Amino acid sequence: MARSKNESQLYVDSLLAHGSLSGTTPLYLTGARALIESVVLVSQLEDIQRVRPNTVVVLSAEMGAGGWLASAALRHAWERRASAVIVAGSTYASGVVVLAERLDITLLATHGDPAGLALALSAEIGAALSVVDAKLARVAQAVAKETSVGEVVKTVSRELDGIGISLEYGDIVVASAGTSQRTAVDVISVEVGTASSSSFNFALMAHMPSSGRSNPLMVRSILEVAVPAVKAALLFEDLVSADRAVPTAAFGFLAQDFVASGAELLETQGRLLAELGWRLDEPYVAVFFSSRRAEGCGPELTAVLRLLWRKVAVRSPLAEVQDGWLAIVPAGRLEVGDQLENRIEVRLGAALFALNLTAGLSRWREEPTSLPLIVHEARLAAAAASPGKVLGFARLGVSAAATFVDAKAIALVAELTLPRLMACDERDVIIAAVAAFLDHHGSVSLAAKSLNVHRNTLQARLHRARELGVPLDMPSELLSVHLILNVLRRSWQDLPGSQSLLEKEESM
Amino acid sequence: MRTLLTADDVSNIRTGAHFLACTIDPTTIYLYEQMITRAMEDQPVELVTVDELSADDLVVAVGMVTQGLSIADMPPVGDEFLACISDMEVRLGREVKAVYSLAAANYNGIIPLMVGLQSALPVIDSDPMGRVLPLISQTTLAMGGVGISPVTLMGVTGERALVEADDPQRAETLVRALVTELGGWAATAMYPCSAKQLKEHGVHGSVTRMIQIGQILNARTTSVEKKILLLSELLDSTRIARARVSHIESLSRPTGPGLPAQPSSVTLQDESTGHIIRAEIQNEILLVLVDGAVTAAVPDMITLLNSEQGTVVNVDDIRVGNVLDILKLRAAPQWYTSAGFDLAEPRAFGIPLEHPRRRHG
Repeated sequence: MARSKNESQLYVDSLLAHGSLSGTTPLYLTGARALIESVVLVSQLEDIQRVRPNTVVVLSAEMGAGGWLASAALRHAWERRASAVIVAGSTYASGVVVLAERLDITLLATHGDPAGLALALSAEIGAALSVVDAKLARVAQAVAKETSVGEVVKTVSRELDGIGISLEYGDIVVASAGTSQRTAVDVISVEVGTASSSSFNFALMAHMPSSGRSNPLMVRSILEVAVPAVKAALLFEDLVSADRAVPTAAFGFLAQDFVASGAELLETQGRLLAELGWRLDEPYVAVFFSSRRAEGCGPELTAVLRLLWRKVAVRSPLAEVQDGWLAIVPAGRLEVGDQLENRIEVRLGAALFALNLTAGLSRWREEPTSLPLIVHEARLAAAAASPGKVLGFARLGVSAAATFVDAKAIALVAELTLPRLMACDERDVIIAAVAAFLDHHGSVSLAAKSLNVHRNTLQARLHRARELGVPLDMPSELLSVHLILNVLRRSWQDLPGSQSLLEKEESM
Repeated sequence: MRTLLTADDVSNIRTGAHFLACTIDPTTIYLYEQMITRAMEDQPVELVTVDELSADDLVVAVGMVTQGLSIADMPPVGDEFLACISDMEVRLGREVKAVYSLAAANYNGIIPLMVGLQSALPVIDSDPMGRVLPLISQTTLAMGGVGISPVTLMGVTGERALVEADDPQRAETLVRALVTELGGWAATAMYPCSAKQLKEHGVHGSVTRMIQIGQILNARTTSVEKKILLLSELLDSTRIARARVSHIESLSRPTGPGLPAQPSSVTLQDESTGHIIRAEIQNEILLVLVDGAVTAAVPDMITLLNSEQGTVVNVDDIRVGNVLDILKLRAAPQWYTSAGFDLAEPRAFGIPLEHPRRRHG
């Protein structure tokens, strides 16, 4: 039987084949491979109650003999999850072997001096531990050379025989390497830490395969050794990315004042833009990420988003701008825009949802584009997208118009013109009823069906709306009423943790 | 209350004595039962409680001490205990008023009845062990500071000896050596004390308990399960397992110096639960492990019943394939004190193990 590929791990079967246990007689061997991490020579039965898991328990000659002793030792060793029990060759009997089988714990018999056997095993464990130390030093050296998070993760995975390693931020996989994580039976996680007080935290994860060949303690030690390198790589990459993103950030700042016309920007800031590396005669697509998070955009989120953005367009840096994150991607062909949208959807969709972000893309144009215009389009598309979704500006419909109205101003108008409705306890329900009624061209039946309520219930709510001053019977007012109600409905839906109107409807 | 024992009582005592020490030599108990029953046709034997005696009355323990020889192999002539009592009276210059059993189980549980019949002395419903222990120093009287000596002995061939030793352990060593020289067994009288001392430091009701156990086990129409239930109510006993004997070992443990008999072990398997039960034997069952965990240990009493008939199983008669009920009984409370554990926990028998209750209180 070959020794484990990983020399730092000792197993009972390996040492029986060609190690310090080769002189012992196996009375019972467990089906599973029993890992050995320590050995203890016991002279008191009670000593076994304090051994660590994965320990080989050797009963000393001074302890005395007796089948009962072997039975009790087996029991204690089983309770402590020991690797094996070694008894003197003369003390065992079939009853003890049957008990070892029942408890499924390896039982070996030695015909030599138990103390000598324990010493030999101890020396073997010491040698294995020195291999561990050497290995940890080698891993530390290897990961210290890497400057990117992806390379650090790859190096760790390589050192662990290719098992799946990932750097995760909350549930978002920022970088990964090694075999598929789907086959993992256990996950070992080591916290990487974060500078800010974020609800998320970076963690380095090892996805242990079902083969069980990897020593969990060794894996954890290697992850811990790799943590400083991961932190350094995160900081270094953030620094490099921030540096590379300066032209984009600068452009984002300049473009704020030149929404309508690129010509004006070119006229006044053309030289500066040229110095920043922008070629205004080339087509670009702008990508804008907008946050719906209450806590806004911290530097940590920027770092995470930049790491994620590498999966989409590694050459186009992502810059943090005033109200989100901006990237401008060269797009010589129409397909580039579609591919970009598709890649964001596929590769970042889950992460965007987890981070409560939206993504928007500008339209692709063949002719040289007004850069401020594409930034504005991407920003508007991001504003119109649902959380976790990516939306191209070209796909906006007329309903998007409601997205861009000033929700705060609309709310003020509503407070002014519909004060009784806004103060009413049943406000949400009535707004939902009226909005549904207007959505369905004044059809009570269709509106009631869409809200899953009885027709009479909807009629009652519409009647109540009229009582509260909603001008449902004045055609000239209906467009404004519909707009107000839609904006109010949308703003409530966007509130974090808010209960949807439908949910309220069902719970009533 | 003074009680005149009947032949049924003697039969029940025999069964009870056997039950409380399912160990060697049931033949001796049977022989004594027969002799006592015959002798009772002419004269009754009187059982008294220690309260019925005057506080200063001299009482002595009587019992056989053996060393390698079965009593049935060389039966006593009959005058041995009378000689021991007589020697005791001469040595102390006082008249013995009553006798009590050295150990209220096994043959020493029934022998005092014969002595009572022969000497016309009442038998006290008390003893200094409440069970059988192999050493004469392992008594509640020794725990209470009651002196063991003088010990008077009469051996197989009629030779007599008297031992004076203050320390019970030293007396044990001397008596054990003498018994070997006297031929393998000796009738003895020891622990001469006042009725008041016996009352303070003895275990009481032990003869009555044997009668009650016998009444349960000798009832022919009672099922085994019912017997076990009744024993549980009487003795607060528990059944550790009903298991089949799978292996018998001898000499699995070395005998400590001064400890009689040869050790052996029995391994059983509970066929319903799969538990593996190991019983360590040295004269009596000292230790029971269930799946390697200590479930009963001296001073607990551990006894065996035939699962089909509900009769007591001798350790010597265990065979591979037998299905046995293993019962655990609590010993007298004195044995679960620190001094009691010092005298009678597994360590005292050469097994390096503390009784679980010493650790857990």
